[in-house]
Amino acid sequence: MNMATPVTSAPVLECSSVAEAAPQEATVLAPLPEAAAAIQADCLVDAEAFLDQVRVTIGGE
Amino acid sequence: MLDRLVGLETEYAVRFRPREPGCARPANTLLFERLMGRVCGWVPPTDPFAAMPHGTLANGGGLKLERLPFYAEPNSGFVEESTPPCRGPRQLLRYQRAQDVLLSEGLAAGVHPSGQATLLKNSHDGRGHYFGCHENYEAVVASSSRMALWRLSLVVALPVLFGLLLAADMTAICFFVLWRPFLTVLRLLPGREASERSWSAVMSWVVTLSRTPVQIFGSNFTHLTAFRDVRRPLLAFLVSRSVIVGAGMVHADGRFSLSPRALGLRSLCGVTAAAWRSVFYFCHIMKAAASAGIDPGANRSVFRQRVRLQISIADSNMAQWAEYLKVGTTLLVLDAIEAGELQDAPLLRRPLTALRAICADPELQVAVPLQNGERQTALQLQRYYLEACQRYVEHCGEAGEEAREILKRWEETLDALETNPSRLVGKVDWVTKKYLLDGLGPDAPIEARRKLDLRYHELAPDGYYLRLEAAGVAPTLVEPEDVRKSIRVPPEATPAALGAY
Repeated sequence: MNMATPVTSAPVLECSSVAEAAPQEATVLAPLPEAAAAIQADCLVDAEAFLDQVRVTIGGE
Repeated sequence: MLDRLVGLETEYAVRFRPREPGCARPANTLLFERLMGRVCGWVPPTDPFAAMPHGTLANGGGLKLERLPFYAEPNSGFVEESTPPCRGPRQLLRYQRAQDVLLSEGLAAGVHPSGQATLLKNSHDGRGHYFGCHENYEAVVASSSRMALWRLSLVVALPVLFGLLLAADMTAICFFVLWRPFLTVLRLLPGREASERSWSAVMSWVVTLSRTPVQIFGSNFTHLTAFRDVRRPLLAFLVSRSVIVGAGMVHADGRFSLSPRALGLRSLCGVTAAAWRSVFYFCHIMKAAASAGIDPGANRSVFRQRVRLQISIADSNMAQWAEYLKVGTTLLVLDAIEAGELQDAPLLRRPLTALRAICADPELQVAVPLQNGERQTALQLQRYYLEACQRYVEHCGEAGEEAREILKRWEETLDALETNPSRLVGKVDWVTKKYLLDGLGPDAPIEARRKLDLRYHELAPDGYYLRLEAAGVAPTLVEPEDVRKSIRVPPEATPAALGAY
């Protein structure tokens, strides 16, 4: 499934029952395409340097 | 219902962004010590004289740097936090997010002059190492005659495990002492970092090999005796649960998987980590064995009937919706199992193979074989458990509002996965990550895709998931002021609140 397709119709985060949902959930809607576009633009900048900055190495659990 | 103690252990990768290009990266041990200093300045530890790098905070949560012994690479280790034991998924979610806030604010305040450190709440790093999240549930280890057998076998097994562990660590120490001078010489030569990395790899294998007998004995012992009545009906649920709680991962060749954690699992039961990460992890048995030679009275708690069942199959979640369902649905299934429901639960023929197959298929079409010869998809398996829990809650007079809320969100999630997964952007991590990746387009460089994969999890205002949350496209289930309060106050009606910490 390619989930980029619905961008033009902005996936809507909806609650099946607004009355039963927490207050913040009921207000969640749509600025996803703008936020996603900003994130996608950032991904293209200095990606290799970013990957090198994230280091864990095996440390046991 | 939902009344058992539950906790989460979350592991974080460390990102260090130098102020000037070419600045040497400080060791993770140093960054962690300074983070602990900051955190303990704000929230006093319960025991200020406890040896670093471990600490228990005023809310009952814990904080430590996790690493293998004798590990030579100075940048090694990841930060691990544990919530206090909580009751119910919402309380747990609040305390987990409180730990996230505390740690990220501690690093944001600055811990090293040469750059900025941040944490990534994910399950793999830029070099292909896997870690993740451990869930702890209070559960019945055995009942009736099996309980007697469990206690008897513990009396025999703990000294054996202690002996095997002692032999393993003595072997590793001998190797370390003999080869350490070579590392000292290597460090004087050019390419110091590569030398240290090679040394780390060698030591990692030495520790792994020396602990192989411990793992073989401990794995078989726990597989035969511990939580047998719970593990059997629970396993197909946990394997198929990845479609809700997977964090998503981009492989080096560009493939997308639902869960990085699934790739690192090698066994169903285990007592030690490293190369044998397991679905059911009995580290408390290992700790009891280790203490057996020092203080035999210290391991009394493992003989109780209700003990910790540690599940290590899942990723850490950025999405509150997914984290809430991860714990909430598991609590319901455990309640149903202990009430004698789920006698006819599906049994997977090869659970780890099924897990990898499910996680490799973002289309959610793969059907995995069951022991009865049928094949079912992850969504069909999840439907079975959802419907069984709906019946259980219906028949159980004491079901509260939270149980019904979990069922409602669970059903809504499965419906969306079947019909229109994009409705779960902001709610399910792998769906959200895939949505962002698909938007990058097929020609995006692999480095950009892998950056998106990792930075999605960064606990900083410019971390990708937190940007979505700030933009209002990812729902939050706990109030920020409740989260902030939970940094200092232990959860109500739990051992932490009663002063056990």
